[in-house]
Amino acid sequence: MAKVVEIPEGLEAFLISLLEKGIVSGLVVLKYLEESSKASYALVPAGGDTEGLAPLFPFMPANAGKVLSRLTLEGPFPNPIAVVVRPCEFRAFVELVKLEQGHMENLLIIGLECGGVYPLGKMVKENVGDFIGAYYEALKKGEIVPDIRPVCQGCDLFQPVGADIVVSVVGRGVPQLAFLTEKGLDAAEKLGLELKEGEVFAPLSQALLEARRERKGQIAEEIKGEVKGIEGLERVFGKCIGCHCCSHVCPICYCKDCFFESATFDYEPISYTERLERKGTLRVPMDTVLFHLGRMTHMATSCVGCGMCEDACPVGIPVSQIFKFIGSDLQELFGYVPGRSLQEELPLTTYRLEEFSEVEE
Amino acid sequence: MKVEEERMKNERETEGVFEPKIVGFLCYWCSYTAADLAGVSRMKYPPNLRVMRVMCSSRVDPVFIIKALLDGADGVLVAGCHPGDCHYQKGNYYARRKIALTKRLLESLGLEPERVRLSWIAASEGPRFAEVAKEFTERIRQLGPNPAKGALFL
Repeated sequence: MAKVVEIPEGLEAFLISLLEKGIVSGLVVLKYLEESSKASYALVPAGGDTEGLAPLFPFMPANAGKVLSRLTLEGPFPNPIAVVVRPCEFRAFVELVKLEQGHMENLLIIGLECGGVYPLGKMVKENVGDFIGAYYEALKKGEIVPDIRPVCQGCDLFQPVGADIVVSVVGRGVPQLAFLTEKGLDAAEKLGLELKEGEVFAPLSQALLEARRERKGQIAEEIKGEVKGIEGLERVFGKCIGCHCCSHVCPICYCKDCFFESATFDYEPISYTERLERKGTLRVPMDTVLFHLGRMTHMATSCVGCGMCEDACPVGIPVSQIFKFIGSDLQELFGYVPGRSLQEELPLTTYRLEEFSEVEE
Repeated sequence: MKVEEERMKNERETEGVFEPKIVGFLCYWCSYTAADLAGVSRMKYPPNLRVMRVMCSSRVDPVFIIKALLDGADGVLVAGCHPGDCHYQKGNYYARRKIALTKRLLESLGLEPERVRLSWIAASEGPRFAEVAKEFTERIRQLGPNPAKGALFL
């Protein structure tokens, strides 16, 4: 049970009232670019242009975790800022803060109960008006929305964790706000909202959770079958053109000097001819699979499964499904859930004195 | 490698016996010294291990192991000081986590985690070094050649 309030006038009006009452000095939120078919993240100051806020727009043009990291890399905001984020975006931000790539202070976190987002291609190539109605209909019924990102279809962490204010939409005709922290309650009080006791999530949210879990199992099994063994890796990653877009849009891949873009894997000509003698043919550029598997060892323990990488891939490799489901094996190994808590240490930056005796021989 | 051993190895290879290539990352303070000790004590162990010295077992990024395996190494050995004995106090604890991660990753991808081995070998344990090299070479010989060796599009 928590302090809740329904907002029939919509989330946009609530956000604007936060600005108008001076509770926050700015918003980080999705905002329409042209009419209501395209949106992008924007930092909207008090007194700024609040036309066309689109907090619930079901697309992720950038992972907000990465956006927030860019905004708070050099230091925290001097004044309170409200940010509207999906759970995976917030979890990515928590990971980035642990990696010293951002600051959590002075942020009022408004977490969306997430119905998933569509692949970005749909925003650019199709008429959003044609399918957006169906999106909200499916959410109201607590069903998995068809055609959303495959990782979203198998995401069971769509209920926000660690947010000050939770926006519940699944299984509800009218969105509901739940104020979970002192910061959140303080904002509600200043706004003069009449709060009542209630459940944070609607009962249908639980139904969606179960449906998502089932789908997650299916996708995990499918994808693991697909990348199995050397043949699987060759088949799946053989298409890779080495653009590294997946790592550029990845919120967790923050390294300015990526190992795989360094000269580490450049060789002397003699090395190539020796390889040729062994293999007969050499794929160039080399090390495509190494890039993906290497990136996996570097970031998969923190992978939040947001799906940005898969959207960015020009040759349609199911990157995020592979990273999410292979990554969840690695996370399980360390009992780690990325972004669950700011206090939990990253698996590879900590250790226990007695553990993993099965790998010692 | 002694000339005699080289000759015998070449002979075995021409006879069709599989000779594994194993990459060994040995920590400077313990395991590399142990290899040295095994050498000066004239202990016998198979010549299949290609040794690379690292300052600490935790220096071995999982990428190094994956790189070796994708490029056709039949096995990868990472060896360091026993837990509690690390020259840098806790490097080998980190190494253990990295190896655990690498092995699980290989397992999840349907590759062979048995091709990776982590062993603690103290500087004084020359005989143990020879034993580990022997055992691991034998295990890899049983496993057969690394299937990545012939793959063109890796």
